[in-house]
Amino acid sequence: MLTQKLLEISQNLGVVSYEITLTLGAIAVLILGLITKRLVLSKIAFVLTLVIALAFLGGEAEGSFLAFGGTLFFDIGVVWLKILFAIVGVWIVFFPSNIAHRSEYYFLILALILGSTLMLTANNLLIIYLAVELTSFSAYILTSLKFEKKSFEASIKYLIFGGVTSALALYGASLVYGFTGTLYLHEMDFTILANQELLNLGLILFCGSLFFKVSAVPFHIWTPAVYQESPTDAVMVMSIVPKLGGFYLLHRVLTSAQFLDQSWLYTSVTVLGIATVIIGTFGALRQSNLKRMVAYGAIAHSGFLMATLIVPFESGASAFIWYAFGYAIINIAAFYYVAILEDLGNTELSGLAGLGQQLPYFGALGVIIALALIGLPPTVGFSVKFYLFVALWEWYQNVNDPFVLAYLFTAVLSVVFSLFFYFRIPYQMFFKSGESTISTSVNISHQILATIFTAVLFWLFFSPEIFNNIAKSFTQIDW
Amino acid sequence: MMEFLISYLIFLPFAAALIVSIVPANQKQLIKIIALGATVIQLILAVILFMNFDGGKMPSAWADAFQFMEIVPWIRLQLGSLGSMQIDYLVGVDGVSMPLVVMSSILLVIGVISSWKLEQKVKGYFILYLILSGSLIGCFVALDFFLFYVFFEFMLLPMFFLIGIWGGPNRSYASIKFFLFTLFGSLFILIVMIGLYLSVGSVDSFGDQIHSFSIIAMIDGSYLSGTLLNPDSTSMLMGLSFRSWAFILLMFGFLIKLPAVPFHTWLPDAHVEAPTAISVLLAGVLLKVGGYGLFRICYSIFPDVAFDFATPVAIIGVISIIYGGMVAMAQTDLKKLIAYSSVSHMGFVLLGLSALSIEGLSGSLFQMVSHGFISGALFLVVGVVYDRTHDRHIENVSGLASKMPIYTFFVVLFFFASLGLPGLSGFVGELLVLMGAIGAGANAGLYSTWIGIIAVFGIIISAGYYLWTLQRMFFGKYWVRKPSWDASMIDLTKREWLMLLPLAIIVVILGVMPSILLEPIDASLNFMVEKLANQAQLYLAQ
Repeated sequence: MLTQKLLEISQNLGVVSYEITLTLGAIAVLILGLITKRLVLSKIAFVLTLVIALAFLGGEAEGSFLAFGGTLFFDIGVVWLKILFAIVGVWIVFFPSNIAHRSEYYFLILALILGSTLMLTANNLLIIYLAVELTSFSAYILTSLKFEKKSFEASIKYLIFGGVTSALALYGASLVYGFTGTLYLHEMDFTILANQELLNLGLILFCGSLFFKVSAVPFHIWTPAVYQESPTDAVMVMSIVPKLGGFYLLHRVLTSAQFLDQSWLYTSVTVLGIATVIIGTFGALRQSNLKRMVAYGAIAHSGFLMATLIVPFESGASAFIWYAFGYAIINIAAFYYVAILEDLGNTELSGLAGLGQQLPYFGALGVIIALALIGLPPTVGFSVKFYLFVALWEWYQNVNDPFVLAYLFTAVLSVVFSLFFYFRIPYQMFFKSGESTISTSVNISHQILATIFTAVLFWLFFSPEIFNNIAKSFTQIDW
Repeated sequence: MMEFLISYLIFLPFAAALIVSIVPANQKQLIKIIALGATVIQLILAVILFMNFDGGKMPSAWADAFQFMEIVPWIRLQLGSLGSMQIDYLVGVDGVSMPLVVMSSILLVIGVISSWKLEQKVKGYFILYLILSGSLIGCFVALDFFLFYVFFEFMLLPMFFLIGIWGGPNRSYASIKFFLFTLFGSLFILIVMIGLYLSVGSVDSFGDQIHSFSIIAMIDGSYLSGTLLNPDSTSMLMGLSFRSWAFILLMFGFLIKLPAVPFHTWLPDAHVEAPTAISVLLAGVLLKVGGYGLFRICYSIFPDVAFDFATPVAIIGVISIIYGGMVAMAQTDLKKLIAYSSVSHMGFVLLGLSALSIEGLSGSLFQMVSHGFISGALFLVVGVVYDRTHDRHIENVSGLASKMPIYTFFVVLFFFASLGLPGLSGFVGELLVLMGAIGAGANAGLYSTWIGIIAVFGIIISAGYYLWTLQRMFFGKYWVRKPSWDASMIDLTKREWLMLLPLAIIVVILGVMPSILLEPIDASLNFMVEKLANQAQLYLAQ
């Protein structure tokens, strides 16, 4: 028995080479930081880790399968998202350097990516819990790495919220375990247990910790403070990697729990999604700080991603992957831009006044990124939203559920409001004259990279076939 | 050359914008010459289009109703359960879009001439101007809904910056209001577009659905069975069928753009703040996109609902005519007066459409073209006095006729054209629209005859505010509010001649020989009217 298990584990080790590389790399970065003060070595180790991890992904088989006795789950979607995570991680070395950049920083980012990767693959309630905790703990520390009073405040806020939700999640997991008698998602049979209030309570509490990770309403309260106070490149990673990991896991948990069959559960997710869009959008309207505004915008984006949860998974999964990849690319561009502005000395909106007149080219790049965040053509932001709307309408056509229609209209109309706040960036830059307080020359390499990002935003609108290929392989998944 | 004519028209300005973007910003004259050259070539191409357009050809089906068609596959996606998505670069013109393309090209050249004296941030201005021209033309010729929508949204952006950076003192408020209003409307169009896309298409030999964005397929009514916008669908939402809702949403979107009362409030603000050339394009071309959208999309795809909703649409049209005129009369700012008169005159477009007859439709289209030239000219006329005094208030000057006789001559001509004096272009459009509206009441019984009769009073109101303005500003004893203005009160310069004279000639020709425009559009519109009636009956029978 034991030898059989050991044999299986040793056979399965190849599947997790990505994770193993990340773990070893993270340890290596940490040790490097102890023995040398030269940051560049940590940076190289960091990049090397991600590149080697990426290289291991090439050989992975298609189709879905379980490994390690069912604790981990693998499919093509996991592979795509792992690729995305590694790429997102690598980008932070191109960001303007800041105080947080020390070897521990790269260690924490690797830990964050590792935790999110485990969230993608975890198939066991306890592994899910551990993965969520690993992501959370790295994020708590990353938040405080600016060593300012406000960032400690944000970090403590994050820690307390996170602690409470994970305690509740554990309680929920124990309820689910009590009813189903198993910790493995694929072994749970909810059909015979449907409408058991306590089981549903357990599911909700457990999903609560995932909603917390993806900053869905009402678990979003930590987001603005954390996004504002963390180092911008860390925010870029935090806004993409754990969020998409959380959504992917939510897709799996909710699908295996057949939540679409339980109308009240389904309706409550729909309502929460609508609320997330509304609160994210309206919250952003009042912000005067750029990072805070983008944070609320990211909450609204979570609301859009939640729409993919209520659409059954064939079209839902491909809408999810479109939105996920589009969102990731736009966010990389947006936070990169914000980081450059921060490097110039300001993230307050009013501080941007007149910047576009001094740096018209750089300002124009900002306009394009704002367009993509809003979701206007001809940028990829439009394509992904458009495709999501198509999926929602199609689903509405099948079920005639007024909530779905309400979701569609809320999502569409939120675009108008997001225009209102995102366009305060070009408004300040081009319409307001006034001495901008910040330095007025942008590093040429930053400018080139920002140009490449914005070009990608256009390019993916005009030829979205690459997305389609990813999404197509996605629809073949049998969850 | 001929087979790519339309593409040249769309992409020439974009190419010119690219060229301008690599010219150093201090080469102001060179930038202006490039912009002028691009728009003049565009005009020549448009004239070639006009000459080679076969107006006499009566189409047999929607598929061959369009000329100069080009089709290039653009996006082909296989989307799991959603079937396959087909987006094409599909462009072409018929009798509805061809005159609008020609009119836009003329106004685009005049806009460049009118911006000739611009000195501030010339490079940015002309890049945006050229991008705007390309997307305007693209909007009129796109026959793929997705393509249309992309151009429709994309033109907001250059407009936003053109008003917001080069506009008057309250420019940022006006430009944001403009952007928000139009975006709000266009999102409703987006929802209907998605619905239509999922409802229209064909089934291939494997039984998979192929969805298409082709407007021709949508007009033709090749609906997939079991979809919400299929005429045989029985699903209701709050007591109305989904086709009615789709029509209402499209109406919202295009009425904001048109604009019709009560969605017009962005227009006066935008006009007052916009620089002269941009006002010309805004009134002359952008508003027509709204009217064109009603023709091509709203009415052509949902004729059954259009017949049902004839009364409310006609009433909105009449309210715009009367209310716009009354508000115009109350203005003290000349530019605002003309902005409100635009609201009033665009009401005729809506009224003509609602009649769904050949008189109504051709009147509506004629009114769009004629209003494009006249309102363009009127904003140029305001620009002339504004350039000299930096003030637009009617009560601040009087008796200009004695000091600037030629200017006064042009003003009188365009005012009379706008108020519908026989022999000038405004008259023909309004007459046809009123014939259509009253005919729709008296013969077809679509709605009450009173609607047409009330609309006639709109002409009287516009005569009222134009004549009153003439009397206050141009006749009587010469006087200006500030003595410093006196020196600058010289008659038209050569550049102003160059802008106003062609428009004056066009306005007179269209008034005396309306057949020059009515003939080429006749076959298309007859076909459209006939098809709409047939299809409406067919859909209603289902």
